Amino acid sequence: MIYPLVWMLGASLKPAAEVVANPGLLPAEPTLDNYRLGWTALRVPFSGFFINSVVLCGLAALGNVSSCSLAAFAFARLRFPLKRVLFGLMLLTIMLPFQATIVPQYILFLKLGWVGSMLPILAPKFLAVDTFFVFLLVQFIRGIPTALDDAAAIDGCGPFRTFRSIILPLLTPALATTAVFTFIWTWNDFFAQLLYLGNSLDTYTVPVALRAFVDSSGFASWGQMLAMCAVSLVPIFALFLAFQRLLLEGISTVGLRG
Amino acid sequence: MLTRRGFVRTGLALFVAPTVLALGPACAVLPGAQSPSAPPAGPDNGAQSGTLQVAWWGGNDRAERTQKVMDQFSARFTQWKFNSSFTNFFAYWDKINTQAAGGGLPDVFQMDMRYIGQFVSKKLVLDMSRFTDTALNLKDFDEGLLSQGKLEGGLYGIPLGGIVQATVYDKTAIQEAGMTLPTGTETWADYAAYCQKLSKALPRGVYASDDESINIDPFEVFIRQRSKELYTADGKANFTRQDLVDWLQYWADLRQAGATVPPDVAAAFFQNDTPETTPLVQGKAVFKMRWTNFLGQYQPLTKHELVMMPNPAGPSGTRPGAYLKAGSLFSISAKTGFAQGAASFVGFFNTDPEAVKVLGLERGVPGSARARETLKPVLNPNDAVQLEYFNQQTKNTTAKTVLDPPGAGEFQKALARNALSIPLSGVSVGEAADKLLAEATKALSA
Amino acid sequence: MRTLSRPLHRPAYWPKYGRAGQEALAAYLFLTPWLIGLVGLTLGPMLASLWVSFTRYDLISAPRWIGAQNYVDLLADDRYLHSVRVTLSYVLLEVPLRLSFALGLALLLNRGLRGLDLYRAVYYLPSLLGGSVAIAILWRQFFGPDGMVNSVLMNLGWQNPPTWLHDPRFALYTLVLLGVWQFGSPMIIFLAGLRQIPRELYDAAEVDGARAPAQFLNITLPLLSPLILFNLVLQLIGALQAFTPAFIVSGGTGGPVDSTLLYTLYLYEQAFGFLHMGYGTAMAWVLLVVVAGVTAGIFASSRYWVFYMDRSG
Repeated sequence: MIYPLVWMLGASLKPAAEVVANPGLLPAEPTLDNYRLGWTALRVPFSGFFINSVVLCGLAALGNVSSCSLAAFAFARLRFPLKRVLFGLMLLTIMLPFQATIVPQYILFLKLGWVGSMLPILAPKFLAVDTFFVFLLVQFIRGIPTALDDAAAIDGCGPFRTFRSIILPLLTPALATTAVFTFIWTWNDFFAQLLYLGNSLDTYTVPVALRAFVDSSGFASWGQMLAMCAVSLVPIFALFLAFQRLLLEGISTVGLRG
Repeated sequence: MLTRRGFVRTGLALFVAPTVLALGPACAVLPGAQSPSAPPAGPDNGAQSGTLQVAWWGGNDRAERTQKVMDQFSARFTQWKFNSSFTNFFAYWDKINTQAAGGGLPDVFQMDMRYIGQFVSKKLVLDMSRFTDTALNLKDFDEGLLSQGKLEGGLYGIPLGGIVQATVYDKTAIQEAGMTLPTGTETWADYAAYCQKLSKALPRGVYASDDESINIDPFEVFIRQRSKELYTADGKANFTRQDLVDWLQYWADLRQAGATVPPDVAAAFFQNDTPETTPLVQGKAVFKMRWTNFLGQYQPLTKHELVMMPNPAGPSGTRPGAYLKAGSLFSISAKTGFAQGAASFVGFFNTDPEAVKVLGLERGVPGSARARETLKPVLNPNDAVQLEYFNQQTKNTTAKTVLDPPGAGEFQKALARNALSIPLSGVSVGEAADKLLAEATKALSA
Repeated sequence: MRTLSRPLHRPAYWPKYGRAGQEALAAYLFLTPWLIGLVGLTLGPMLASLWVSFTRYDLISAPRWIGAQNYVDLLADDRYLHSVRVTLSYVLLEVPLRLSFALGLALLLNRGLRGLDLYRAVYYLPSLLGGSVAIAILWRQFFGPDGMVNSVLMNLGWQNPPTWLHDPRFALYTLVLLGVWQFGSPMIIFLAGLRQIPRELYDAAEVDGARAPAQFLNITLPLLSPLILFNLVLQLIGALQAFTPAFIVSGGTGGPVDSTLLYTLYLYEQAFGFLHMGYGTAMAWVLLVVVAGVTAGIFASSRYWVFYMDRSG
């Protein structure tokens, strides 16, 4: 199951010729050369790409957490006209394939002059376009007893204070889930980053840099390539280890209450 | 309790906060936020310092040389820095197209004769005429070569090297197989016969010829030997279905006889076109049809001795199909804020003695007479061969009279795809020709 | 004791906060970011793309109205139709296989093995990593002509194994394999659902003499059916949007002779490679309509095979 991953690790430690010659798991002559050489293979050291990715994903996570929790509170706790229609719309947009909006979004961002910056990827996060998380948070909020809300209302809290003081603290596990998933999914999101950040080497994020590496070196330096691939997976792996329970529970909950 | 004041305050906060959060940090990470902002491009010469974006296609060797020249330029003119990127040919044009649409073309980027027409008509590249005698240093530039960068009354590309079509072959492999070397005057029929004989004498896993059915360069030679250009003056296909059938059938026959590399090897090359993955270099094929500047790219990658000869000729009495081409050019983005700097760099690239020595003949024979003089005494053996061959072959060419129209790039891809479909998908030659013609018509009318 | 600040005769829907209008206003304020996103980044662009699909537009010159020509051209475009076939093959293989593995493993793991957490993690990890460029590159190495798979096969004595990635017969299957390898995330959902099925039902069935297959068909499947529906729709939509693996594995070309030319790849090539924006958006709309139709169809059919515990009958 995870053989490919382990193999990748092993291959990244093999000297160049051995990657092809020895298909086994363990390197005969382990070396860290691939990591050293691959790091600067694209002229800009990989650390630059890492920083870009971390900044992008961190901000994306922040965006989703703030905008989706706001929307989720409204849907879960407040009453307002057109609620059913809007909720239905929200559910529908979860299933919208991204191809339907990518071209006009690109044109829009082009006209705004945002192509080449992180804005086209971040703006949707701060505007709750990832409605999957709105849905997730709605389900969580529904699990919080309304008695607390009622008590707060009696004490004179408006919806904003209730949101800030009562719901948000209780929502922390779900917010963490949202943040971690957003981070991981944005880290892997190649298409948008290719489109908006792929034009200049200093805006490259990790997936775009990896692909540029493949394109410019062909089959010539598999060891280095796999080394950089391994490095690029480390953050996701780390998040996975740290938040394993959170992620697995989060996925389960969405499915159960879906 | 809900008060109006609380309302407005929190409402504003809710509205403003996400927007500020979105724009604030994003502004900080916008490229250019920390470096000096580019002044608006205009008829003036732009800023006098900054970071130039440069892009080209090619392999690692070309990248290293180009990088060295950029370093030389920065050392001499410390006010200029560089940001560069390179990739293989097909991926390069995908990216350049997207950048062109996004208004983010690199300041200096490598241009190909198959694309320059469309970039000029879409006003994406700068007219460099005003720099001719100053930054570009074009006084002693070969006029024939320079004219390829001149369109519609302006100068839009500076040729980086002249090349001519050539077939590179592995002399060592032929000698080891015990065959006599080819003479260089073979016709297509002779070539086929030779390859078939050779393939019987070669060891397993080694083939006589690469599968050039997918390659537009020899295809163009083939068509031009029939006394016509690939495209009409108004940008349509000038080849007929019969031309396509003849071409595809020729290679199908060779494939049948086992004289070309297996189709999956050909397919791999199309997906990853770098010098390192060429079958010739990998010892899988003996002949490769390309351009004169590829000898220098291939020889360092193999221990076998590589030799150049002309592409197969048409039946006797037909005109030569080869032509002198600007192998690649440098163009400057029309929206650059650094016109002066970019032009200086291009001029430096072509004429500075140190730069010229680093670049050698990797992109072709330099257009500048001074550069050629500088190179003559220091040419490495490969380059010396290339130069001599180039000078010899210029007589054996017919000038190309019709520039490639928009859509030529698409056709190039379509040719490769449809040619591969014959062995890989069992499509018949006739069907492939029909499909290819349809795709060509569609691409060229867009 | 709780004091009532509201009169008893209030209707059930009386808002909690202030007057009715105020709660609604508050709600809309909370929804503002989402509404902006909905209109500005979703609905707006969708409508705009509908308009663009009736034009010829290359982003550099102004759009030119050409009516339904793009759609007509699509139907006549061999490569387009081919990409539809390729995508269908991919989806019809990958989704059922992935769901089957997910369900199968979930059933196995539900037997309460020791180290369940470890197994769950191990099976889930690929689906976290799998969509990345890194794994796609790894796959490209694995199934390349000199890759790991062929090295192993040759060591085992197979002289001339197929070149997988460069062989149009097999290239797509490597992508299917990559997709199926990531069955972890639907598996987790199934596992959670299985845990919810009361043990008593199984015990009762045992008592009645029903054996494992019967139990599976009559208890497990029906009770799991809402989750099957959920996973089915989710995986289907995901598979139709697959881009990164095909793009990286084929080097952006759509694989040997278009054998891995998924719909999204062709759309990318047309819209962003050749700047045929009108054509690309027409493709996007066709996809949208098809997805909507298929999803609606699945939901409509769900009446016949999805069993909700809280519904009567």
